[in-house]
Amino acid sequence: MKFTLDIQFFASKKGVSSTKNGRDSAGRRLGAKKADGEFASAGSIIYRQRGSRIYAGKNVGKGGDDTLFATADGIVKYERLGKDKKQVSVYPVEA
Amino acid sequence: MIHIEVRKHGGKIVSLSASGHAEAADKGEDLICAAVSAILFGLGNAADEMSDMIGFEIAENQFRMYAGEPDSTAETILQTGYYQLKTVEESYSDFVEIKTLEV
Repeated sequence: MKFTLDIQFFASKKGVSSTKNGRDSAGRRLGAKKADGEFASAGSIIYRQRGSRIYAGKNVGKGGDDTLFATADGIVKYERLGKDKKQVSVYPVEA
Repeated sequence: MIHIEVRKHGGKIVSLSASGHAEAADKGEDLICAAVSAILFGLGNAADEMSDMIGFEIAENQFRMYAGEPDSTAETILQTGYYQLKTVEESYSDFVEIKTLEV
């Protein structure tokens, strides 16, 4: 035969530039850290979030990164707030 | 991108040329390049064996077949090549582009 097949006759010489994608940050492990009915000591984190998916209720504070934490020892309660919002409160345990 | 130019005269293909790089993958793994290469090299051997009317010009990443006054065999070979390349272009138009000119 006149022509011997070069199966990569039209291939580029250099490697194809890799894509610029393919990076991602590590998961931020957001979400509930204390379940409903669980005991939380003052200062412990109850819920990690970005923005206000859940609002701070009684005995609960909100940190700079929107994290909700207990401001007193007690039992965690997730409650409705208005029509379509949620809040979390901590109810001290009667001694 | 592999650029393919088809020149026609009076509705008949008188030249079929391909140049460029597919750049679909690294050399050795470029399937689009393999498809186009196989079609053109096979076409070249068919034309060489079956017709005296078709000439060739080969250079790095360039493959050209031409026929001054194609007879029916040469015309059939070149048309077959055109449709085979069109089949690849339809599925991989990011890597293969065919232009047809009437000259």
